[in-house]
Amino acid sequence: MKSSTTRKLLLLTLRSLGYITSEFLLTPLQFGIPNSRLRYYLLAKMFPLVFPHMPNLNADVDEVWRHIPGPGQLNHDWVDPRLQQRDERGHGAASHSVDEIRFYLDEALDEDKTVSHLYAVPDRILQRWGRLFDIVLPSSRRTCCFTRGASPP
Amino acid sequence: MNEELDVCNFTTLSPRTSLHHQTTETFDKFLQAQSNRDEDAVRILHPLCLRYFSPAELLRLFNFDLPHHDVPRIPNEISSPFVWPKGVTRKAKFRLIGNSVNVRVVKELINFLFE
Repeated sequence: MKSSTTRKLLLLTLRSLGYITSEFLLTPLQFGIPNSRLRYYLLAKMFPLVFPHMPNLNADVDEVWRHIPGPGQLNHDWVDPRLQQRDERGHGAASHSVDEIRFYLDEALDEDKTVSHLYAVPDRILQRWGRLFDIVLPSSRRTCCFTRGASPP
Repeated sequence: MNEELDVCNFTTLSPRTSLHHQTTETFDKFLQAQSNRDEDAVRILHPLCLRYFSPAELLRLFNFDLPHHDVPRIPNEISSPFVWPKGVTRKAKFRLIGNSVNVRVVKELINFLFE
């Protein structure tokens, strides 16, 4: 991403027009939401407006931030708990600051065990694609992908 | 940087399973049966009750709606303030949410932008 020529062109163009920029790679996981979705964000302000808590303007202009700078609990880079657990034997504080998925579920959907589920994955999809699923449980703290294939046919 | 290496297989839910190794074991049995050309191998997966997330659940995960612990529960009341326009299909809902960005992340960025 850092070597992307499109990004460089975009930054150069914004700067030539008088904008100050700041760039981020952020995931909902670092805000406690159990969805893994790392995305690039670019903010720009017209000079003389500047971004607070940022090192001086001439510093490494290419830095892509892994957190939003400023006061508050979120003022640190996000560390993937899967990397941290190896050191902390699975009790890393970071992994538990992310919600369990159960808080995001419609409990009523799973109450009736007799009826075929409205959102059940059909057999033909299971047969063909089952081995590629990312399967999560109500106690999980991470979901991955919901685009295209994730939609019920 | 591990996260960038996530293989983006799509996420499904096993709603009544409590331990991860249960899904792994079940899947191993299923794959074994499949490789033995068991025509009915898929039945092995049925106890997992695998399902997709509902649009309402995705709206919570993308923070258009709040998760349960941030919303006071009122019995017999629909807690979601989010209303879809009439005629939006389920498939379209999934596509729309899946293509969007997380509202919480954008909120934090906007706060920073106007700080």
